[in-house]
Formats: sequence, structure tokens, C-alpha cells
Amino acid sequence: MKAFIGIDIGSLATKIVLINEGKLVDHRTERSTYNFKKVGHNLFDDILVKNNLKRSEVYVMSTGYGRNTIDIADDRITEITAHAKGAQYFFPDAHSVIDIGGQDSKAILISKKTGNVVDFQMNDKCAAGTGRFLEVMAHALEVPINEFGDLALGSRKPASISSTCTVFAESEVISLFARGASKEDIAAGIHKSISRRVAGMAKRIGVAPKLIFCGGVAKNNAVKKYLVAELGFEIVSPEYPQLTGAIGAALIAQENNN
Amino acid sequence: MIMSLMADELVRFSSVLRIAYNFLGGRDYLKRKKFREKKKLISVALPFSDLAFIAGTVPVFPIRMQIFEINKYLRYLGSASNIFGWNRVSDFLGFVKNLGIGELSKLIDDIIDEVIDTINKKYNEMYDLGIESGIPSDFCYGIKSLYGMHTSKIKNVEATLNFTIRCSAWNKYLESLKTIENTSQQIWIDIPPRNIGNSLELLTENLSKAVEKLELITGKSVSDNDMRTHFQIGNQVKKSYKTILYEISTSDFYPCNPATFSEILALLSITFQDYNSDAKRYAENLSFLVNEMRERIRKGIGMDVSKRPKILVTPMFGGWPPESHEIIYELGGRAIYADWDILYLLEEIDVSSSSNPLEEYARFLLKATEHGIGCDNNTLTNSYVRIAKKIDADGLVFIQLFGCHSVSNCYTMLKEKIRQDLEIPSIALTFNKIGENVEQVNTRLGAFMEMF
Amino acid sequence: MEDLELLSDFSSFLKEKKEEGKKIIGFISHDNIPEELFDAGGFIPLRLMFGGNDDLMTASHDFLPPSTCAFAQSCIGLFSLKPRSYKFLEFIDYFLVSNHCVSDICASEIISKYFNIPRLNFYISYTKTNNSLTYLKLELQDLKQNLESIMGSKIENEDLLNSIKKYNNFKKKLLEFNKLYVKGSEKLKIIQKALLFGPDFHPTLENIIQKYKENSNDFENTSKDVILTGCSIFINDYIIDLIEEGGANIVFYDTWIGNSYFSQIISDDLIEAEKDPLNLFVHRFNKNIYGDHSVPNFLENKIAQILDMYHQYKQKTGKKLAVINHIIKFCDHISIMSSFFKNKLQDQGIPVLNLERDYSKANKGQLSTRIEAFLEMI
Repeated sequence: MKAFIGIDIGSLATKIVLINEGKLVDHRTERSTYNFKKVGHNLFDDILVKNNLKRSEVYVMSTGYGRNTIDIADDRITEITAHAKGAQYFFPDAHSVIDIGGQDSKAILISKKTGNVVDFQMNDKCAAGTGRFLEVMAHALEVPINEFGDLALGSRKPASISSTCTVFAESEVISLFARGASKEDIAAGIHKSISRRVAGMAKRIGVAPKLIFCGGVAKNNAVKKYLVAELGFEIVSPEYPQLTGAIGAALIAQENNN
Repeated sequence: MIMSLMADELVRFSSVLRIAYNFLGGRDYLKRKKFREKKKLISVALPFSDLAFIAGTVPVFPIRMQIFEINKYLRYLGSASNIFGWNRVSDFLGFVKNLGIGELSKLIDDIIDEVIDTINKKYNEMYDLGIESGIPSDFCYGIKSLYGMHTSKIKNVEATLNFTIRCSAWNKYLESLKTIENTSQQIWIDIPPRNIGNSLELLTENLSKAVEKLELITGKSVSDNDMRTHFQIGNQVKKSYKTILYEISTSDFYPCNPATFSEILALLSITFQDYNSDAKRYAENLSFLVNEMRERIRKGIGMDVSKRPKILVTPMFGGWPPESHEIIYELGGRAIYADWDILYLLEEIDVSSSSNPLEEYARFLLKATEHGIGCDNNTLTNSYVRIAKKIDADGLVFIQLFGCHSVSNCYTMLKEKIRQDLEIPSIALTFNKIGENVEQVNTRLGAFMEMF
Repeated sequence: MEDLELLSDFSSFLKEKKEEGKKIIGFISHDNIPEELFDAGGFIPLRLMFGGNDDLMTASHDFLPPSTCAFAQSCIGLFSLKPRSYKFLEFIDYFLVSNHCVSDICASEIISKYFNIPRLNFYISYTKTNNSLTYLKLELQDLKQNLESIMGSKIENEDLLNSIKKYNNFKKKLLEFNKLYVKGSEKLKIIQKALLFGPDFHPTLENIIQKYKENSNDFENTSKDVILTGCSIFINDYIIDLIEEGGANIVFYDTWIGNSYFSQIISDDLIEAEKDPLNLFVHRFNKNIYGDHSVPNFLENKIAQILDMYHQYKQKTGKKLAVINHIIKFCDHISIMSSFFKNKLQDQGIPVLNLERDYSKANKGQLSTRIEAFLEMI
């Protein structure tokens, strides 16, 4: 095999990477849409063409929500194992991972000795604790999602949000705003809430440094700030926080083929 | 969640301030009891504190071991009352308020606001702690909070008094306390699920064994008279409580604002579990409270509530949206909380010299099982209806507590019985955590109150 | 894949029994129920041991809020919706309201009340003190009297002892079957069928055991071996397929539909020596270290059993077992201990997956991911 491809089909975004001799060579990201099979195929074809590769020269490992349905894959692995591997690509001494995606979040504990997953926790049933929670709240406050984190960072006194449910939290947010709380303070309260929820899940499996924060939400510095506060230690994010799953899948493909 | 109460009405309710202060200031009191007086603390929840009192130990509803932020003025009042006496202090405040010294009266408003607010915040903290410590989200607010309360504080108690009841989540939660690193004992008292055969004898023996264990803890033996003395005090408490529930709650004139009155009932509901660790003091305070209320009604100080529909709000002891009574008040009603009588835990215990006090206590517990807490929903719903009748309720608000499979999941059956027997309107409110879902509660209660 | 043949066979079986004059007592499936007493009295115990689905759960919301045990919801749903393959539920003459857990009481009360099935009561203490055992005897006597007044005849000690022996032998046969090395889902289906039909299934079970022994084609196990514990896997529940598709093979069912049932055997000596057969039920309850009803040693007992199974298996095969703790949403008993259970076993190096679910089909993907991720991990 010349190269290895990892494809992470999330419910919101599909990510594809090309690995050669253990190094990231190329990558693509696109919204999955309802037709993620087509999106997957297109990205796959494109990456092959741009890198002068034939189908027979690559081994494809799929992961994520659509891993069983995509037919271009040679093999599949769950996103838990994939993220653990991918995190170690960026940080070989990674001991735990928190991944907050658009529709789910996970915490993974990695063995310092073997680099294998030793425990994990998933939240994929409830929007609270996921990127969706932030989206809903940003929308309620009429703030663009990519500015939401920075807005929150501007607060000195985060509002207290007690609702654990996204639907109720949304009403709570609107009501707080109507009563005169500032957008910054409410935004900070939201970020604190999601961080607390995710940190709670992570603490259940005993996460400890070095903790890698990845997934789309890792780009949000306010979530990072409050996660650090909840966990009590510093956390790091990879250069490409959304690609850890796909990279991990490709690396595992490479390992399996050697 | 700030409850706004009419503090000026409460100012002359010094007994309520005392009960609130004794609840919030539990930590210092308990520390004194444990370290200076060498008393043993026993963790209790639900109104099952009697055995602990009887044995000379100090029962504590674990949240009272937490640090509550007591407004400095309540603290001041608390300590000043030791010198001047509470009534003097409250009279002083009342006089001062009438003079229009705005700042001081604002402070009093704040004190009362904070009492309720601080209790609710603490409950939520305990809830979060329970979840962080490993209780799954499937469970009710009460159990999550209770586990949270024990997580940090169980090391302070010698034992937990574990009464088995119909609720399996409760029974299993009691077992789960073993998972917290601690050296406290578990004293189990099995209440027979039904009163058949010689259940009374069996339960009496179970109680006796529990008392023996408590005697081993204190090193002192318990006599029948000790038991009768305590049950007598307990009876006084229950008498006063029932007077407030039935004579005063149902009257056409309230000694204070109805929202305040509901808050007093809520405070009684919480503090009834451990009598604020001092049965005699609690009985006295409750007795004073009854007198104060009657006095104010007699003098016409308070509010005419004859046009306000009586709304029974239940069950609330496992967790309930505390803004409910405020909303009901604003929409023209008055909320009444009467959980413990629904569960038959306000029944008096026979203390005559010819009685076997432990057997009488067993009789009391079995009655609660048979008719109140019940062994099934059919029994329990009958009791809800009974109390609604007793207070002549105009409506019923049922709290459907998320994750509760015992007292709070019988609404379908209850609604039918209410319709058939009482013909009064009823609604259900869902509750998961304090502060959540306020808009929904508002909307539902709004629509409900429009029916009156 | 719903096994409609099983349900239709069962329906015919019940119909036959009814024609013989037997009465059918329905109850929600779990242990500590004296089915031998029903049998001796001329009744057929019908345990509700059927897995649910979205429709059944939703139908129960007319009676109980959604935050109720998914299995209890499904039981109510069956009576509410009366699906065609469950028509045999109409044969039920009496419903036992029992307190294995509070959801059990609620669901069985609702089924009895709203679907007009006369009710029988049977309540068990939560602890196992001497007084609790005495109380249990009171309940047994009460139940026996009620059964006798329904049938209009006394249940003789001899008949009761014979029933106990019959069920005892049946459990021994199940134990024997359990020792065979069979694919997990196949084993489960046979155990489920056995529990559903009761000792009438004994001869068939005997034949099945013979066939397996004769064929001696040990099934090729390329999967990872796991113990299933927690809530039982009921009939027609898709979870067994998901677990196997994920790459696991269940070698021990440490659940009521499984080990807990057929391990509760009363010794022959005790049966011979006992004058009052009701005492044998009390004895069995007292020795029951498998069930999740009793406090306060449930967690310790469960950990001890898992460790025992783990070490025995390692000694026999050299392989390490992993544990899947099957938690039906809102199950009071299993759910509350789940994180403590996991921590204690993982401290001993035994990986545990707390698999929390209801019967909704929508969650299948999420469940698969968890199962697969767990198996990738071990």
C-alpha cells in the first residue's frame, strides 16, 4: 500500500485525510448533509486525484456515524479508538481526550503504557454538552456562532444557567436577556454550562493530563477556558482539532497493514 | 431564583425567623454538639428522626451540615436574640420599619429572600455533587441531592437510619451510601410492606434492634419513659403542624401574605424531617408560630384570602419548582403544601403509661405504609384525595418529579379519582431541577389559574 | 427479528392449558416469585418476559410518565395495544402485583386495574433479617390461601413438594444446558423459551442437550467473550444481535433470564427434610445472592459473582472475560449501582461497559458504537 486514508463521517461534517509513512499529507472537510455517501465519495475521489493515487494503492478506514454505510471503506473502526489514536499523532504523550462535536461529545482515557483506550464515556443522546447546545443558544441571542466564544470571554460575571436540558436552557436564556442580563454574561453562562457537563462526564472516567481537546468546538476558547476551570488542569488542542478522528482511522489502517 | 416575600409580615413572625435560623445555622450547632458535648450525629431523611432522638443522639438531615450563607443581619438577629429575646428583636424591627427607615426594612426583605434562595441553591449544589459522584441522571432530584449531601458529610455521622419503604430507588440509594468512603454504620429498619399477620410484632422487634444499636453507639440505655417523652414532644409538633395545615390554611383570613404563608409551609416541610436537630426547641417554636398566627388573625393583621382558591400542591418533598407558590399567589390563589399528612406521618403516637411506646411507633409506621406512603399507587392516590378533601381544595397541582417511580408517577390514577370524587380541576407540572423549566411552569399555572 | 413462531407456539400452549381447566396468573418477570405454588394449585405462571419497542413504550405514557423503566412501560404497552402476536395475554385470569421494584408494583397495578384483570398481591421485604423471612412466610401463606379460595380446594403439601421438585429438576437441566459451549444468542433463545414454557419444556430441553452433545461441532468462536449482567435480555429484544454483530459472544448470562434463575436450586436433602414446603421458598429467598431486589449487599454479591465467573473462565480457557452491564433505562436497582460497579471491577482489571438503553430503535446506532468501541478497547 502506498498510502492510507481515514474518513470520519460525522452527522454534521465529513472529514478525510491522507497519511503517508505516518505523516499527514492532505485533508478535506465538508458538511455531510443527508447524502453523506455522496459527499464521502466526492472527497475521496478528489483526494486521490490531487495526490496522483489510484484506488488500488490506498487502504481506506472509515469511522464515525456513517462508518458502516460508506462503501468505499476497506475496514471500519469506532470514533473512540480513532480519536485516541489521532490525538496521539499530535501529542504522543496524550493520556486523555475530550471531543466535542456538533451532535455528540466523548471522553476517552488512554493507557500511558500501551497507548490503547482503557475507558470512555459518550454523550450522544442529548444536545446539552454538544456543539448543538451552543448553536441553539447563539441563535437565541442572535450572535454568529463563530463569535460566540469571544463574546463569552468578555464577561466578568457569568450568568447562572441551571437548566440541564437544551430546550429549557433556551427559555432560561431568553428570560435572562429580557430581565436585563448582558449578552456577554449569558454567553459566559452557556459556555460554563456546557463545559461543566462535559467535564462531569470526563471526570467519571478519571481524565488527567495530558488532555487533548478536539472536535469542532475545540476552536472555541471560552469552552476551553471553562473546561480548564472545571478540570483543574491545563488542556491542549491539536492544530487540526476536527481531524483527529480521520487521522486516527488512517493511522490504524497503516498499523493493521504492516 | 429570588423569592420575593413580604418581609414586613414576617418580621413579627419571629418564630419563623428562628426556625429558618436554626435550619441554616445547623452546622455550627451540630459542631458544638459533636465536639463539645460529645454527642453522636445520626443521618436521617424523610420524617424518620424519632429513634435518633429517643436514643439521645442528634438526628440531622444532612444538608444542614453544609455552610449556608446566612445574611449577616439574620446572624445578628440570631445572636441578638440571645440577649434580648427574639420577640423583643422582632418588635424592634417592626417598630423601626413603621418609622419608615427604608434601608433597614430593605435589609429585612433581603434576609427573607436569601433564606429561601440560599436553601434552593444549596439543594441544587447537592444535586450537582450527587451526579458528579456517580448517581445516574435517571433518578429523582431528591435522591441525587441526598447522595450529594452525604458525599462530603457522611464522615461526620456515626450512623445512617435506613428505613425501607415502598420506593425501591430509596432503598437502593440507602445501600449506595456504602460506596462513599466512611466509617459510619448502617442501621436498617425493615418496615413490612403490608400489615398482615403479626407484622406489628415483627416491626416492633425491628425497631427494638435498631434502638439497641443506637444504645451501643451512645453507651446509654433507653427506657420506655425516654421514648414516651420524645413521642409526646413529637405529638405536640404534629398537633401544631396540623393546626397550621387545617385550621389556619383553610381560614378566610391569613396572618400574612399567602406567598409568605406557602413559604412557611415549605420551610416546615423541610425542617420536619429532623426537627432542626432539637425536638423540644422545634415543638416550642411551632407552638409559638401557631399562637402568633392566631394572634395576627385575631387582630386583623394579614390578608383576606376568602376569594383566593386553595390549591393543594403536592408532592414537593422530593423536589418541586419553588416558584410555584409565588406564581399561584400572583394569579390570585394560595398554595398549600401538606405532604407529610398525605403520607400519614403526622399521626400522633399513643404515649399512655400502659402503652408499649415502641409498639405504638410500629403501629404509626404501619399505618403510614397501609394508608399513606402505601404499598401501591391505589392507596397513595386515595390519600391525596383525602387531604384535598380535608383542606377543601379548589384545585390540585401535581408535581411530576422526573425519575420518581413511587409518589410522583400516579397522576393518571389520581386525576380520575379527583374528577370522580372531588370534581375540582388539576394539572401536572414536570420537575427536574430547581430553576429549570420556569417558563413552562408559568404557562401551565397561568392556564390553570384562569379556571378559577 | 421478531420470533413470531415462538409466540404462536406459546399461544397454543396456553390455550391447551386453559382447555384443561388451568387458570393463568400473569406477573412481571423477575425472581422470588413462588411459581411452584401456582403450579401446585393448578395455575400456569405466565411471566411477562417480552422485550419492547417504541410503540409499546409510547402507549404506556397514558398511564405512567416517560421516566419509567422501559421494560415496565413495554409490559403496559402490550396490554394497551394488544399486538396480534400477543393475543394470548387475553388468557390471563389473574395478575400478581408484586414489589420486586417499585416500577413492578406500578406497572402490575396498572395492568390489573385498567385492563380488568383480578389482582393477587405478593410483597417481599427488602432486607433479609429473620423478621423479614418471617414476614415472607406470612405473604406466602396469604397467597396460598387466596389461590386455594380461587380454586375451591386446598393445595396439599405433597403436591407443593412435587412442584418444587419438578422446578428444581428443570433448573438442574438448564444448568446442564448452560455448560454447553453454544453461540450466545442461540443459548439465550433456548433459555428464554424454557423460562416461558416452564417445566413442560423439560423433555424438549433434554433433546436439545442430546443433539448438541452428539453433534459435538463446537461452534467456532472468533468473537470476544463477555459476561452479560444487569437487566435481562427479554424475548425479541434486538440487543443480543447488536452485541453479536459488534463482535462479542455472551458466554454467561448473569441475569435473571439466565444464571440467576437456574442457580437457585434447593438441595434435595432440604426438600426431603422439610415438613412445610413454604419454608423452602423462604430458604431460597434467603440464599438468593443473584437477584437485585434485596439490600444492603447487592453490589458486593454482584461483584463477587462476576469475579468468581471471571476467574473460573480464565482457569478453564485461559481467556479473559469482559463485562457488559445491560441497564434498561430507569431501572432503579441496576442503574443506581452502575458507576460503582464499573469502578470496582475496573480496579481489578476487568473492563466493563455500562450499556444504558431503552427499547427505542432510534438508538441502535449509538448502542452499536458503544459496543464496538468497547470491544475494540479490550
